[in-house]
Amino acid sequence: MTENTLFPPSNNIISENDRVMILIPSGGLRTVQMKLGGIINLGKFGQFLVDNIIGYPYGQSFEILEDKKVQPIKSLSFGLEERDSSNTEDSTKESTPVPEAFISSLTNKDLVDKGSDIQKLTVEEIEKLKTEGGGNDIAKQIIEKMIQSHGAFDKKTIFSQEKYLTRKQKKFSRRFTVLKISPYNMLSYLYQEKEPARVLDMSEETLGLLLSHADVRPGGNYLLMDETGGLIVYALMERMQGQGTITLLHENDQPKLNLLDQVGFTEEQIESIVHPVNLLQFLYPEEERAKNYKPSDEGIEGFPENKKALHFKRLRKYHLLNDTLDLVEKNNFDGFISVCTLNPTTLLPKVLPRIGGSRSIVVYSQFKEILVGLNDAMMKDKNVLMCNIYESKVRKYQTIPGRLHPLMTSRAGGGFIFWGLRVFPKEGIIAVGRGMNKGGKKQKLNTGDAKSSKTSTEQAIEDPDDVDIVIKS
Amino acid sequence: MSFLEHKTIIKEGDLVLAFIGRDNLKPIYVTPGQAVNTRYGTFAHESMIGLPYGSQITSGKGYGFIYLLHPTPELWTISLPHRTQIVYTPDSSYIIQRLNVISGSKVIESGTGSGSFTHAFARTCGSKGKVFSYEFHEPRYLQAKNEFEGHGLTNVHLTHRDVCANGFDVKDLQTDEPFYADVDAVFLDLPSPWEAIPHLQSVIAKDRAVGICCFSPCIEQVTKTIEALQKHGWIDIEMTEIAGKKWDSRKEMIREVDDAVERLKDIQKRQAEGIEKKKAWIEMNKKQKEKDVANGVPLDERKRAAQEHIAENKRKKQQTERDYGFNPWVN
Repeated sequence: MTENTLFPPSNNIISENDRVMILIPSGGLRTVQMKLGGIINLGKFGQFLVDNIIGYPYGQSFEILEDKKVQPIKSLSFGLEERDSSNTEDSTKESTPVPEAFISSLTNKDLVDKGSDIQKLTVEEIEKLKTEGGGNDIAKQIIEKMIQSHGAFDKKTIFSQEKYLTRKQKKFSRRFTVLKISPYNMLSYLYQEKEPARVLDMSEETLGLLLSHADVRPGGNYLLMDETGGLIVYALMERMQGQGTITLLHENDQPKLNLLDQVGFTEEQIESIVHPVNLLQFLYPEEERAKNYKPSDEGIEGFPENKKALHFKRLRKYHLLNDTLDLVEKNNFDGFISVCTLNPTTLLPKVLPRIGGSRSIVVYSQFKEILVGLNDAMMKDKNVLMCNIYESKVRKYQTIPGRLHPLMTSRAGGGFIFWGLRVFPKEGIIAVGRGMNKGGKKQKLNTGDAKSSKTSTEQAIEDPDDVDIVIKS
Repeated sequence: MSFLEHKTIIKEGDLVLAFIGRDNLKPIYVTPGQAVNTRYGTFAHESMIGLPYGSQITSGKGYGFIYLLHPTPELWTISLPHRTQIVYTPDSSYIIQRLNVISGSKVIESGTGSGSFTHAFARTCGSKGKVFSYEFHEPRYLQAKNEFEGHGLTNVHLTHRDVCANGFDVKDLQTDEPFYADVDAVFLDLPSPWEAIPHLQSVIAKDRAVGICCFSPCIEQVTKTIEALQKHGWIDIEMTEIAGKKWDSRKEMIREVDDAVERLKDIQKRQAEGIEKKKAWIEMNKKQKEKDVANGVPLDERKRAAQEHIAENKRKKQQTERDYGFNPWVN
């Protein structure tokens, strides 16, 4: 395996110019770039100077102080944990109120819903309080004031008080966590912030299932269709870390990979792994190769710098396409992954001859019906073995010891995966089956027998007694 | 090293998963002189050498077949000899993804069990990464050791130890020198992970975020695990449950209500026609009898003629194609 020097071991420290994912108390995600001197504005959650978080490891949580300063804290979670004592001198200071400090009720029998009347603090007053400071201390003050102005806080049970605090903290706390961008949180981000349709409604767990079934590993040469703007390319690149190739089959003049800029890959890194090829080039490689002219380097010496650069870019593109077509014509891809809206039932037969033996065919669709049609066609196609449709669904729980329960709501959908293996059938094979040894009656071909309940790629033995006779004979 | 890289052609000594039927994959090492015996026939190993993976081969007798598959962690999960309950692909794929395991990652796995998940971790970590796997049950440890060597999982560092009692510290397998594992992710598949959690401190990375997954079947175990994780400084703890499903497909007719109505009408029409036909038949017989009696045909003769007539009708009916009635799909 050749070493790809463009992919150094991953950096785990928040560094200058990194693209990072910021998690805010409400659960929202956003991506920002770490430009020195830059100010990141998190809206009502405050703002901070980029320089103040550089050098901390990814995963670190911070609390916003006055003057765009930050202070590292143990976690974003509102478990009322103490501040990280190694980083601050006033470690005894609680950042948020503790429910034990208030009187609570054993039951909620005296709690009567009076709507908004119960809270004496008005929205205007809260908004005014918010402007009085830039740090998390304001959040603490607001929450304390809200509790004081709450007409029936003492009538709530301690559980209810905790829930109330958590809710208010999610709303007012000026905290955030800096996460390293990963395919997992990028998908969560795209789902939350953009339209889920952009990623064809794919859930995080379905992406994980797809990567495992496709047997994605460093050093593999994969054929991929990606209609998500590069999320799947990104997920493969992350798993492969510069080892192997991704031949990106697309249906436009240029592939759409806008997401890769957001996750911080350089053009050189992308070019070293991703080989774009459009459908026309893929289906008719010989004709398209003939159209791929090598740019002439005549008079290159006299060219101005920008023209020279363009020449080399063209030359690179020429070689890249030639290399890609070589890969296509080798007919030995280590797997095919399709995440697109083209009908797989017509697409797959055109792609199959290019895939190596015993390699995975993985097709994603947000609709099971599309894959049912594909599965039915592939059960009859002798070039695909063990095909099925797979689905994975995660149910998240409220994770408090003694109070574990599934969350009341979760998102629907998430998509389905078709998985099968590319095989090479032998012509005219006779399956061992019923009737084979009953007085030398007609032998049953294992192909195209509509009456067989099994698929064409499987042998039609149902009664083991039949078989014993076969083996003895 | 076929679990860590893709091979194209089957060579002597290679691991091949022989597909005998759905859910029946048999792992074999290609050894000349040996054969795979199945209910579909006998397949000599020699006949596999030089073929590409994915090939279909027939038995020595020329009928019955198997496919020669390339090993992958997912196929191994289907074919492996179970020594314990194993982690299946819907779970393992989600865990690998949430723990952010990529090429070059260093991972702890305990216990090894049947080694199903070890293969998936080893594949994803690649030759630049490392899987530290621990098994306290000696026969299982030895079997796993044997298997990993045979499968070329050179990036798996297997230790025979009870991690709950003796922790995770690792030693070089050759020199026996202790070294710092510096792991990125931890997977605990133990009956009481809370006993192992306190020992993790000395092996996990200190300069970066480390992920942990504790895999438990019972909610009571989860409660104890969360408490132990909180006590030992782990944050952002979340419990999730995975529902994996496998779907089969088959063809079914979509039928329309108008067609059902048409069919009923057809039945009615045929019933009416049948009654008319029968009436005409009875009438005709009656007339024939009257005629025969008037002509003085003897009883025996009449009986014979009637039987012949019935046989003739039956023959005609067999010859003409049967009308199955209204069919919306044939038009």
